[in-house]
Amino acid sequence: MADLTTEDFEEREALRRFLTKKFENERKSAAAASQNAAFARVQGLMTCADLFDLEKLPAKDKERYGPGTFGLHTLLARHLVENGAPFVMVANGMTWDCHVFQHEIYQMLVPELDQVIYHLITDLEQRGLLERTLVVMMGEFGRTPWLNASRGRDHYPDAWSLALAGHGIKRGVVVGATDDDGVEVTEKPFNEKNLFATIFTALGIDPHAEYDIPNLATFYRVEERAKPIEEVLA
Amino acid sequence: MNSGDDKPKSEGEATLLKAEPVKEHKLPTAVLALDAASDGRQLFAACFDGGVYQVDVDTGNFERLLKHDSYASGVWHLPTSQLLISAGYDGVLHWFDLASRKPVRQVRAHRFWSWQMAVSPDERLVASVTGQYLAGGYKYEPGPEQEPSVRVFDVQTGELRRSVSLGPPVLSLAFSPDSRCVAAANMMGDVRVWDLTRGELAAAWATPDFTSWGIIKSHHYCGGIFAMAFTPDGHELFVCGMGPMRDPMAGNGKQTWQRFAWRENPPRKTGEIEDGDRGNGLMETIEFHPSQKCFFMAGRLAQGKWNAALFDSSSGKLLHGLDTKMRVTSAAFSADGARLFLAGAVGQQKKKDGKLPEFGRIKAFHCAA
Repeated sequence: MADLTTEDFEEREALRRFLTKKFENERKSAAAASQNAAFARVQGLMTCADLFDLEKLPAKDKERYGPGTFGLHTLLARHLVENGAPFVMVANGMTWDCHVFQHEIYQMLVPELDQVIYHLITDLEQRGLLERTLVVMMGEFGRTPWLNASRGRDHYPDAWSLALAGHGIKRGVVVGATDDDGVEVTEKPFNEKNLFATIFTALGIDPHAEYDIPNLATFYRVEERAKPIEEVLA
Repeated sequence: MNSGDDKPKSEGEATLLKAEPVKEHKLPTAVLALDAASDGRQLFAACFDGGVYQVDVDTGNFERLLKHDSYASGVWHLPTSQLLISAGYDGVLHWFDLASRKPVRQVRAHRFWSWQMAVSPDERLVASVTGQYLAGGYKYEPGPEQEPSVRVFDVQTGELRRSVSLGPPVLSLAFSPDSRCVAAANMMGDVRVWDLTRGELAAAWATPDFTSWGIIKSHHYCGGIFAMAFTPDGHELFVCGMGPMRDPMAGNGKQTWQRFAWRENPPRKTGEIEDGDRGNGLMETIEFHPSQKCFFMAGRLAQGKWNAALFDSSSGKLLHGLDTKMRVTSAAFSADGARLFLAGAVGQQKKKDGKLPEFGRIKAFHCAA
């Protein structure tokens, strides 16, 4: 496949498209239609392959974002947003799952996160993209305020924090609080439903839309009509 | 407490005489380093709350002598001068006069944490190691040194005597028994020995057996050499930690020590723990018994039978192992070798009745060789 020219590929794809469309029309096949739709999506991605070429990212930007994969992937995320990607997720969660060596690893992770997020937000702002991009920085749970016997912190879903910036979000606002030890939420507790209602609202999407799917329970974009966190909305 | 092996002990072999500790004391927070006064009646503990405590072995009563601005990570009792020197994650060394019960001086040793400190046997030099792990490459290879990783100070004046380099983070160090050399090792398994009297590097080698890279999920390095000790004759250097893990967050690398003839050129590995003798878990302390017949290694038990064990100094064979039911970070023998003191922590618990339960632990065992 490495030797396949673009022209060859396009000719083969045209033949494949013709034959499968013919098959779909003659047999009225939903499976063939679905396969054609999948091919269309993959082909769309393939035409954007250059956007994912890490070698083409500017060297100066790579230097600013730092040497590790998280910086590189976040820079790639900026690049995708600049080129019209509607949703990008940069995953870096597992490195923070420090059941052991929490201090030893966080001495590297915390400054890396600080550096990478600073450059992402700054770059988006300087390019005029932050006002139409919502940046959400979060994990799915926190870490125990107390240490385990292995120099680590375990999963803790009772209280943790996250950060939002950009489109639809008020700047410089801190909402909610825990006690001094970070054990209990003492002010304005919110859950994941409130968070997603906030995200949808910030983006101008109705958080309470419902989907009636045949033979399935009604699907709610945000369940229980949970309210967004008004304090952070611009 | 479970004995980790049931091998018969021949005459002259070392053992911990009692499986249960003869004393067990609690401290408010985890103990990162421990030293014992020569008589074995007073202990000195460096703790998570920044405090450096004096602990009475018999009563368990403790008194905070001084406080670091971050975790206290090292403490050393100097019997001749009755000084106490401590180090912390604030990068500062504290001198404390035990006779007058007053602080003597503070010296900023590093911009980053002091991971470990040691005082030379002649009590003339104190050394401390530092280094922040910052990503230096695509695979999160540690970046270059931000400051000299090993610093040696004059005990009497606090003046800096020497700064030497080793890739960060440098986690452990030890002085040779003749006080001429200091050794240090880092997360990547690089080991160096410097001759302080000649002012030159005396030996350099690397062992890959203590460092992990996260194949499964966390794509960075972790681990390293957490403690080291010269043999009493100074010819060999023992190092400890745990073997590589596929998942760096599992904490289940093999309990490991290795010994090196460091004066040979190139330095040569002369032995290591036998596979059948070990379980899994990070080993954080290694000490020679005053009799020199055996050495002690301890840390955390992830899987296996023991987290604290005595080994024969010459053969390296496991003599006696036990599960201490705590993570052991530091160990010290009394000068006569009759007692072994272990310090560390149990898992921290939630507040009860408005108070955080004490999770620092010190345990004392009878020991004989």
